[in-house]
Amino acid sequence: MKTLAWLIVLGVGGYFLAPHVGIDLPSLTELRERVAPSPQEPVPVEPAAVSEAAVWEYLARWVESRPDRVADTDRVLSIAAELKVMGGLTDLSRLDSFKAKRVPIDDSNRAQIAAKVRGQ
Amino acid sequence: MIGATGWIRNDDAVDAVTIALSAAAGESIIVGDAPALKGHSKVQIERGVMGVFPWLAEIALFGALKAAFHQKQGTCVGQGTARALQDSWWWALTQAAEIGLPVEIAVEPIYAGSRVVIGKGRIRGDGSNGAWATQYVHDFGVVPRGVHGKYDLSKPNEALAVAWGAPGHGVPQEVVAAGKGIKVRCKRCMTGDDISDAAWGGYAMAFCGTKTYGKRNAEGISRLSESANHCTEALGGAVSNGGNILIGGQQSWGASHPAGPMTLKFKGNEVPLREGGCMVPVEDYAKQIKSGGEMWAFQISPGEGFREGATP
Repeated sequence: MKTLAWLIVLGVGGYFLAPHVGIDLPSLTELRERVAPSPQEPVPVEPAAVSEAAVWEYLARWVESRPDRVADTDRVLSIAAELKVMGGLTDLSRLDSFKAKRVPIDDSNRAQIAAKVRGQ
Repeated sequence: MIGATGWIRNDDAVDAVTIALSAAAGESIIVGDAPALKGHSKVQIERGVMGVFPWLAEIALFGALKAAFHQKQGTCVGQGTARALQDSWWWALTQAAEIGLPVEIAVEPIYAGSRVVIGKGRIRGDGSNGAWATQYVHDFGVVPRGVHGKYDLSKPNEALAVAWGAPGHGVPQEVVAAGKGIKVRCKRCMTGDDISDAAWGGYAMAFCGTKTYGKRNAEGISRLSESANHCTEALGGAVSNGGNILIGGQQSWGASHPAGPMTLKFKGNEVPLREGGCMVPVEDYAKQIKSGGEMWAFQISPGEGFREGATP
């Protein structure tokens, strides 16, 4: 136990004294970077097998059938924005054809979602 | 005392994934919307099936129950999802529903893929949500433990999961490729009935919420009583001696969480629990879901599972 304690003291002390006696040791940050894996190539997300029309259709169904989950326009916009980030929606112009009777999307909040998506 | 956690609530992601997966399937993925599943547990119980215990597949396949997973960092979403997929696959093998290899499912790609591939690296610290993990296994399959290219995933490597899951990193191509052949059927539970129907239907689930398992009582029953933003596996179901529906839980904090007796006593019988396992009244889970929790149910798609020669 005593030997181990001495070894730790010498090791830590030596590490911090090394630069002062001309030994160039890597910094702790550099050491951390060396053991961490390098960034991988981004994984290509395959084109969704599902059409955007289908996603819009299910979004509309969700809005109609789940008042407990989607109570207002802002929530519709948030979900659509999340779908955009995930890659499920790319074509925002389809907002023009989005139909949800219970929580309407109109010209004013189309701008809102566009801003929201850009802000993600 | 609680262990490492890592669930980050994101209601928009939960609903977005429900919509995206329903659109992909061409039908709602909500269990209660599926005619084949709705009411399944009730019918089974009426027929005398008082319990479904997927973890016992480990005894059938390996001769003993396996140890609990033991996370030290915020990888719970990967841990819970991977173990759910593993248990539902092994259960399917022992029920003669599937023919294939009893592979273990790697946690690392699920955790990292949920954060980086689906979540686009938006979470800076540890953690993820069940929806992103579900979308990831749906889109990219699951990877059996083993060596894939230059990556050794034979044993759990949480540091690797965290490193791959860091913003700007990702799941290596060789590892992604290893999962591509395995298709996963994903469902969402929104009520207690959904959870029971999925459990009796052989699905294992990933549960995310703000409470986790407390001590087991003399009957092996626990409650969601410990505060923790956490994700665990939920699996199996039983009718208690008092006639209540119980749903299994599986902690990922090593052998001693939750503490308490290791035998489940249920209607007219008893079965062993495994390390980290327990049973919880279904209302506990339902209450959590109602207040913002998530419950996703998984099965490896029939005919798609790990086969000799067909696996990477």
